[in-house]
This record gives sequence, C-alpha cells and structure tokens, in this order.
Amino acid sequence: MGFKFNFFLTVFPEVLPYLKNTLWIAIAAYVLSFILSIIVSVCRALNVKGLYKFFEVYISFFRSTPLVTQLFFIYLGLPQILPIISEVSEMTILIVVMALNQTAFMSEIIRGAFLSIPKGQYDAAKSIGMTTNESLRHIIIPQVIRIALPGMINSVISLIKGTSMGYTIGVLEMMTASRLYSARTFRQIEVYTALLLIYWAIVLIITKTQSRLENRLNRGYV
Amino acid sequence: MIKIEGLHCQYGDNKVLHGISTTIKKGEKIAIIGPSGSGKSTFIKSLNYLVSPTQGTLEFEDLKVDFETITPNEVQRLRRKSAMVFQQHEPFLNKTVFDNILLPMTIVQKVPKDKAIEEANEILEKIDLVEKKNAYPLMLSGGEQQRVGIGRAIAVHAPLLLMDEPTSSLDPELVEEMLSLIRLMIEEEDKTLIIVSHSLNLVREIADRVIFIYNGNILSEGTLDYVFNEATDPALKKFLRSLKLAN
Repeated sequence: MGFKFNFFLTVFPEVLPYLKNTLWIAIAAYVLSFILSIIVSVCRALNVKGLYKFFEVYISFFRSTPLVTQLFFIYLGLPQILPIISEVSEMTILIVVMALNQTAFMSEIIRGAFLSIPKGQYDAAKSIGMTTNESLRHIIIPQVIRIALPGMINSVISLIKGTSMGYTIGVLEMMTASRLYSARTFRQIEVYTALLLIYWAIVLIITKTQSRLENRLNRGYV
Repeated sequence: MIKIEGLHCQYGDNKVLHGISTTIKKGEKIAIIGPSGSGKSTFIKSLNYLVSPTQGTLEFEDLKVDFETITPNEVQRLRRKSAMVFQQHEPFLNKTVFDNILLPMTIVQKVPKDKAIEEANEILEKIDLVEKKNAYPLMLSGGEQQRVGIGRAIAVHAPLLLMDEPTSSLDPELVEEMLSLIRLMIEEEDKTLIIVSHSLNLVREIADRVIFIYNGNILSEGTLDYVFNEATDPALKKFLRSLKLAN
C-alpha cells in the first residue's frame, strides 16, 4: 500500500471546497454562542431572579455531557416528542447544538473576565460622569476583551474542530467530504493526513492572529 | 453651597453613616478626619453616589436630591458636579496618560476634540507628565499614577473636588509634590474641596475647616484651631493623639 504522495495531493481539491461550510458552521455557532454568552453572563452577574439558577443548571449540564450525545439527543431524540424538529435542516441543528454547548464554556470565560476588572475602574469611570454605556464601551469592555481573549480564541478553535461532528448527522463539511472520498478510493492514510493538515493550518492561522491581537491588547500591561 | 441633611448609609446590615448633616460653603476647603472604619470614605463617596445612601438629602447649586428617591438623571447631574481623586489612583488602565486626561472632556463634556487636545496638553504640563503622555498607567510609578488621577480630575472641570486619602499610598517624599499639585488644583479655579486624610501636615496646609467623623456621626467640626486645640470631645482628643504619634 504505502503513502502515495500524488494521491495525497488530489485530496485537497476534493476536500477544500467544503472549507466554506466548515467555516460557516463555526462562525454561525460562534456568533450565536457569543450573543447567548453575553445574555447568560449578564444575567448571572446581575443575579437575575429565576434565570440565575436556570443558567447554572444549563451550564452544568452542557459542560458535563458529550457534544455528540447532545447532538444525537436533539437530532434523533427530540423529534420523537417534537416532530417539528425533524423539519429543521441538519446544518441548522448542528449550528444550534454547537452554540448551546459552547455558550456553557464561553459565558463562564466572559463572566470571569468581568469579575476580574477592579471595582476602582468602574468607580473612576462613574466619578468623571460617564454613563454606564460610556464606561462599558470605553473602559470596561476593552479590558474584559483583553482578559477573555485567550479563552474566546480557544472557543473558536473548539468550534472549528467540532464541525467535524457534522459527519455523524450527514452535514456536508470537510470531515464528511473526506469520509466520502476515502470510502470511494479506499485511501484512508492520504485522505486523513490531508484533512488533519487542513485543520492544523486553520488553527495555526487563528493562533497567529491571536498572538498579534494579544500583543496589541497587552500594550501598557507590564 | 452644599447642604447635606440626615445622610444615612449602610452596606447590607452594617450601618456606616447615621444621619450626617453639614453645610459647606462654595470655595471652602474641608478636611475629613477620623479613625479607620468611621465612615469618612463612605461619606465622600456618597456625595457623588459611588455608594448609595439609604436616606438623606443633598443640595448643591441648582440640584436638590433626596437619596431615597434619586433618579438616574439626578445621579448623572450630581456626578458631573464633582471630580474625585482616589486613594489607589485608579487611572484607566487601558488608556494612555494622555487619553486618561482627554476622556472626561471628549466623552463626558463633549468638548470639541481640537480644544480638548489643547487643554489636555496644558494639563499634562501642569502635572509634569508631558514626556510620559503616551505611556500606560502600569508603566508609571505610584506618584506618577496619582498625578494622572489629578490630571483627570482637573479635566472634569467640576466645582467640587473630592479626595479620598490621596497621599496615603505614596512614599513620604512624594507627599510634598502632591501637596503643590492639590494647591494648584484648588487655587486656580477656587474649587470647593473635601479631602479625607490622615496626614496632619496636609490637613494644616490645605483645610479651612475640619470635620471629625466617628462611628458614622460628626462628633466635632470647626476651624483648624478649634478642632486641634479647643475641642474637648474625648474621642477626638484620643484620635488626635494617635494621629500625632503616627505623623
């Protein structure tokens, strides 16, 4: 058998067209989980009655159970009691489940970052007459982003890798495309080597961007 | 004139201020003294609503607020009438020295940017930080950070200046420098000053009147001479003895 380099090169044009699906799923799930995380962390920070306990249970549940089980529960299990779910596309279900899962982690990252801002920064902003919105925009959120950035980038990486879960419910992204190509050609080693390299390259680009962003945001912090 | 009546404040079940009343004339320099935990900082933070008093009223120029029914709009108006210098300096950590001074003018007072930049440069000269205008606060020494705090307070252009132990976290050799900066601030525009301090020298140099707060009440107030030499309250006398020892 051996590793056939020429065949290996043919994998890229077969798989890369589905990169846009992979990125779309990851970005959509990220945006959704970011919005949900802000809502969850603000409700928890403000101790909103009823919601605090609800979100505590939600975070515990989604952090403690496997993503694939959550996906099967919603994709295969729930339609048995809520048939309307079977009308939702597989890609949408994947995006929603990944977002719900990631929110459980990201909301804790954001909440922790907010809690780590010294109270004096809030007081100083108030003392010069800033409104809550002005102090959040100019003073607090830029500092929160700096602290939360590594965790938020980890979330992006988790989501990009998590898109491969789409294979289990038939969403056509890079993992599914690779699986189909390897089944057609019986060349597993070349196909999966190429796929791993593509994922690795994407994460390397993200990590490089993270370093640049961190350097920029850490200006002034010695 | 600032008229404070029946100011009560508590943190949870812990009552800190028990109905403080006093009147401060425009341009007056007031020093608040008292033992740790007596409510000095809570008192001055009540005046710009950084802590929320539970009862009491405050009259300040055209504004009259009842702390039981204060509205968000009144809070904003109150805060824009005062500037505060903090014990721990509290410069905005994500902003350069220059932006720390620019921000109150551009964001809060909506001063046109050109004018604000010009004025920020003048303030930088006053606080002697021109060469560090592009530095971030954590790159500065404690004394320099406090100068940023003072520069920011100057930029607020408020008639009332609140200072919460501005020299207590500084090395002794920096206190003199801070004193001249405080003088510069209050003398230029004849601001009203309320300063909390444990430094007898600072109080003697700056204050017209002294208020002694003990267990959340004003036990004694009057001129420097009265409070330091004539007042007979035993708690005040005990406090002054300990202050003299510490100084």
